[in-house]
Amino acid sequence: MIIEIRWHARAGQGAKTGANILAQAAIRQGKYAQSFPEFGPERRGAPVQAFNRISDEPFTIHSGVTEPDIVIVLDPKLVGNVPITDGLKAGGWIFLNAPIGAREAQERFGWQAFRVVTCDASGLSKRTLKRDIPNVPILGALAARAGVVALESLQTESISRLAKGRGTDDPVVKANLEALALGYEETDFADVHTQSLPSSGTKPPLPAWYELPVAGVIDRGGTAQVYQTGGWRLKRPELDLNVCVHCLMCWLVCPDSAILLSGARIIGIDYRHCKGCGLCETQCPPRARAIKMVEEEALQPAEKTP
Amino acid sequence: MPSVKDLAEKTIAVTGGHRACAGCPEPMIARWILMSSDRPVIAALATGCLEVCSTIFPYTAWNVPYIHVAFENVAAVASGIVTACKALKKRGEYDKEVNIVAFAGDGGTYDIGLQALSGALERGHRFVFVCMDNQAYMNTGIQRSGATPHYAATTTSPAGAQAKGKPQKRKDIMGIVAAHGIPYAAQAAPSHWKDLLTKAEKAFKVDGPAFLNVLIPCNLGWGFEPEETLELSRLAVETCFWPLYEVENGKVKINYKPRHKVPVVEFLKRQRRYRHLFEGDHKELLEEIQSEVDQNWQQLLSREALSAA
Repeated sequence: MIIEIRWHARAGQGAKTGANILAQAAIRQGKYAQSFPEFGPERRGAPVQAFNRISDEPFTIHSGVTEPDIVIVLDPKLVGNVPITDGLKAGGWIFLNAPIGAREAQERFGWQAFRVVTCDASGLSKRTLKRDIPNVPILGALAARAGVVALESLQTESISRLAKGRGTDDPVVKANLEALALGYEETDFADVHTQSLPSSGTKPPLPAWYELPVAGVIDRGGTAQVYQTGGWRLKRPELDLNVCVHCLMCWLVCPDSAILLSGARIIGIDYRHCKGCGLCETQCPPRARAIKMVEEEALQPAEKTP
Repeated sequence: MPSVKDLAEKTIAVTGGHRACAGCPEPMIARWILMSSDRPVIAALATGCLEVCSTIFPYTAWNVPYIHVAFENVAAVASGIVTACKALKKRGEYDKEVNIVAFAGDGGTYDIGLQALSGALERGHRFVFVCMDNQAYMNTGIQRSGATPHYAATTTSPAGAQAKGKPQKRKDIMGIVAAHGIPYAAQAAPSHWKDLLTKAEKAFKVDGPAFLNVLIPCNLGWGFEPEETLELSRLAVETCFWPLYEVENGKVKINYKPRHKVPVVEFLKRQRRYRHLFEGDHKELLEEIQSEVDQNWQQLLSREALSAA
């Protein structure tokens, strides 16, 4: 039997590397494995996917995973923005990087038909690696709960990757092993408690070829606004209109045209598109300081526009 | 120069929902340039970061007529649009006065697009060519280009025990373009937005080809935090690494002279692409970069003095 895994993450979070470590670890155990990422022409922060196939027998399928047994979600803000449970088998596993209980996640996202494991992989990573690289702890969680590979082979694989030129007592190697071990230990699990799969949402059907414009011409401008990039945000600008002097500098420098105006006055921030780069804060005049960047809460929905 | 309040009255030319990296100034600069035009604009884009991230089918962030063409031929296509408008006018099928602008990255300007650019400049079409110069092929994963500066590390000019980043110097694209004798060529940076808007406005008014070379601090390729984009741009100008100047009908004018020239290390040490120069003793390499910057600045000053004479 082939175990198929789909990773959902943001570019830069290490889904590709995580999938790669997992496949190499499986190969170390004498299994057959694949790992490959899928991303478009998009940038750091954009949603990406990575895939694994792991089997005891050789296999020849090479396409992307559409009916996974396991889904790994590295950024909880992706839930609701990308189809996490698409094609996931009833009783399949969801591994979520979030500082909440598994039952809570199940209730919150309607995942009662799946086995849910939560692990605060970002928190564990910050604690050990001093950076938010959730892929390592989540692999620990995967080994602990779904047992696709043994923790030992993940450890061996991590050491051989990192220890090139360094000893095993190197602080970076140590921190990685610690992150892996903590991920293995600190998980929460909720079992399936309904057999009915959630509806896959209301995806509009794709147009037929004869309905597409000739040569792929887009016949209206600015249609990209439909696409929401607000979920890319790690920090959120908070605007205090009471002290804003309406100099429009933030509007001028916002790369995402996310400062909302009425005439020549600022009225708010378009959180559907703001990527949280923080340029607005740097240009806000010292006499006003109307914009402050604050940490985006992990589980806040991406859309918050008035 | 249009004031910010004037710009605020206009339709947003490049909308949100594009997928550039957080903090990337390219969409913002494209918006500024398009919005400084007094006429409707038609934009042509060469392949590159800006094109790839702003027009992912079926979406477009552009609120102006837009055509995407290959890496090498955006200047040729812009020439074609200019000529088509002329021909249609002659036939009485079109009566609008429009501005045509071509955007390309440094790859589409310094390297792959150079031949088409040179041809278009020589033929003298009335259009504006904007080079979004982030100093490497950032779109494909940070490969060196003709615009990558001396000793900057990229994936194809890495820094290690043997190599110290890119061994060659950057092309003087402004010199190459100005040598075509076009009416207007200028270098600008997003930190000095008033200067940039003035130059864009001037470029659109020129009767013939105009060229803008705009510095794009790239947080991914240069290695800094997204919110530092404009600060890095300011440092590039204050160190004279990226002088703001224009060549108008052969006359050189420096638009900004820093009162106190900041040492170039202040600019270099903020970026991961130069990190190797600060690990171990590379004083002589840092001094070499400084002397190159000084030399270029001196040359520019003397060219300006010559122009004034």
